[in-house]
Amino acid sequence: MNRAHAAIAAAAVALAGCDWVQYAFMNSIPLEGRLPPGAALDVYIGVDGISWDTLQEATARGGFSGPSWRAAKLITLFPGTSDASWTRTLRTAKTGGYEFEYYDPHSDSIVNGGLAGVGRHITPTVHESLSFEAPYLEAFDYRSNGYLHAFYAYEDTWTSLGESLDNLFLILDGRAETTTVFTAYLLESDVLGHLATPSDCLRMLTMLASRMEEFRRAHPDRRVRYTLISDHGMDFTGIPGERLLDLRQELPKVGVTPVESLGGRDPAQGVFAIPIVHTRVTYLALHTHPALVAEVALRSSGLESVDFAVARLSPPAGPAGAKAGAWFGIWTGGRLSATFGYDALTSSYVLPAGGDFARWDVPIAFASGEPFRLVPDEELFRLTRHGRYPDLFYRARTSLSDLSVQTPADVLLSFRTGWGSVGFRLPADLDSFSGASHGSADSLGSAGILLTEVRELPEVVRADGFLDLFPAVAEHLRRRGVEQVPADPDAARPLR
Amino acid sequence: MRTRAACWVLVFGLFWRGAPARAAGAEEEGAGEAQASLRADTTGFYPLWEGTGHVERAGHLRIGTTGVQAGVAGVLHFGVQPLNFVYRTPNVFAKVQVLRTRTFSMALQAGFFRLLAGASRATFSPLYSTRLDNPDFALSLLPVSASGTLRVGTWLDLHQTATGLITLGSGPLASSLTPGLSVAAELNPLGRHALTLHAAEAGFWAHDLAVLGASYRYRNTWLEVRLGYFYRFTHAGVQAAPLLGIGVLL
Repeated sequence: MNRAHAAIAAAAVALAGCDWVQYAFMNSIPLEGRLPPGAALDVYIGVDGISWDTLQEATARGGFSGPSWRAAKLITLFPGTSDASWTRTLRTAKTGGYEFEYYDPHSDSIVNGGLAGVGRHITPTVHESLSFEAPYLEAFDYRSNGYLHAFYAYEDTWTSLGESLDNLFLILDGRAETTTVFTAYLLESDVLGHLATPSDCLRMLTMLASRMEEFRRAHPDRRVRYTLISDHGMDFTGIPGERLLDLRQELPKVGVTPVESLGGRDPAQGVFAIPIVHTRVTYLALHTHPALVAEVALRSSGLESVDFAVARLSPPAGPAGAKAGAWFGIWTGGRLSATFGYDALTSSYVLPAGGDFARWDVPIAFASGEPFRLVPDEELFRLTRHGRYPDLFYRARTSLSDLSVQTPADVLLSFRTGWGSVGFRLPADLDSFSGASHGSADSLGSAGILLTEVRELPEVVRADGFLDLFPAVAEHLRRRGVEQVPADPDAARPLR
Repeated sequence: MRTRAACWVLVFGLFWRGAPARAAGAEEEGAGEAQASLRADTTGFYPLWEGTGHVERAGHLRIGTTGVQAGVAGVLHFGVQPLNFVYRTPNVFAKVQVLRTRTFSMALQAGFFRLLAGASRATFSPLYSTRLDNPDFALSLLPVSASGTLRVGTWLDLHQTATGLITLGSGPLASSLTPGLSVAAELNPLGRHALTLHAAEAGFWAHDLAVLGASYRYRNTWLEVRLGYFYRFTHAGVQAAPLLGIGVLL
């Protein structure tokens, strides 16, 4: 270690020490609030990665079954990965891409690629000016136990969970003296999904429920109302090693050359794309030349691992094309399966009659000679919400927009169940993939939970409408100074 | 947990390994003399609730993260908590010695902390949450305490502090008075290396907080380093975190 390294290490320890002192000081001040007896205390807990199936199992065993509880299947965005999903749900400042690793068109390069990018998941933010965190985390009053929390969550998940629950309720106990809304985030539930079993996730949810009730009993003078929300589902398929693929090696099989930049390449000379391969997920983002978008989608959909590809399309000729300003294609098995358009003025989707909509679990039949069907957003939501690809059209359309990411993909691939994408390998004994994954557009990876005591809920909720359902959270975020971006105009349409 | 334990062993080991080299010069003069010249603990380590019965001697200055304080007339010192100052909490305290015998010292201390709006969010890292959140209101703290240090033997000092913490609230926070008592057992208090066991209770009949911790202390004639790990117990949960203190003795 040279002197510079020693100085940096000493500075880091000193900085850490400063926060430790303040942490001890602030958490040792007794608090007595002025809130009247019976005042509401609405506690919103983000449980990363808890799937709808896990909640169903918990309620079947008697959890969350009192008369105050309402549950809804939460359909998260596509791709259902944490950073993108929380960002969209909470409408916080845009992230670069769907994950830490993303393509930056200004520098024409991949940012945070490889293991260094993966390492950012556990790199502590010692100072806000050198933050490695996504902005959505600012939305939570409680989200971490300190510098090494993310590392411990992976290194010893159960110990970390115990520490997190202890911390969460200790912080809540103090905040309850001065506030009526509290937001918290738990990371360990996602780690258990990836590395453990469904029963471990169930156990985690049971532990949380127990602590929630314990806190409620300890505060009889407050009207404590809980809300749990997750950010995606979990497929629990246990992807075997041979089906965990590096798409940089797969794309050449269908004639797509993986590249790391787009500049100086002639689309007439070959089909190329930048694959964003990061953590172990069941989707893939591709960036390519505008002239190659449809071809890359067509070819990559022919890969055995890929369920479908979705990308923007030019409007088709004919009356249907004139009905919508934005058009999209869904490719599967190396062919274009369906197209659809979106008309922002009427918030309606144009479904041309030639599309194989049955393949996408959309119960819609065209009359003979009917060229297309104009379907309002809320009607299409109702038709698809319980299907294999819930809310597919809204999610496909918005996934390719810059609503919550600075640089949306040109082509998104959704993987078949039991297949996954990976951007890094670990030493053999650490490289197993025994748990679950998420990211794909099917119901396994897309169905999270929304559980509340605050209000009635519909059966299925579009995650983008969460803040419309719970305006107190939106107000709380404003009071916390969390930057918010506009939502899609249709975010809450199914709730109306 | 294995990794966590290894980290702490490593950190403690670094301090332990480095200390003898820095102390070598003094040890050559004779261990007894070197130990006798070391200054006593004049501050507690855990914030707000801990103290000792000692004050800075006349002309002594201690510049540390647990207090910047100057001794006056041999029985009094004034100071500020520098880190709180940085974190939007201007403060001041004074401590006066009321009794000093060969085996027992006693001092009274009073302080004033003004937590300006936003003090709770002033940490460098956003990874630490606090149970007090004061984005739009200020509050004041007036801790008044009596501390005693009993020299049980050359191997043990017992520090006890009884505190009455007055909180002057505003906005959604009410004013209150919370009693507290802390005990710290400092093993090898005369040596360069000491191990201290800490315990404290705040609230008593209206229990708010209990603290348990252990810390290592290295001190020579001009430098003091403390590193500890503390648990905070409330009826809602437990919180644990390290604590670091560095000071220069002038």
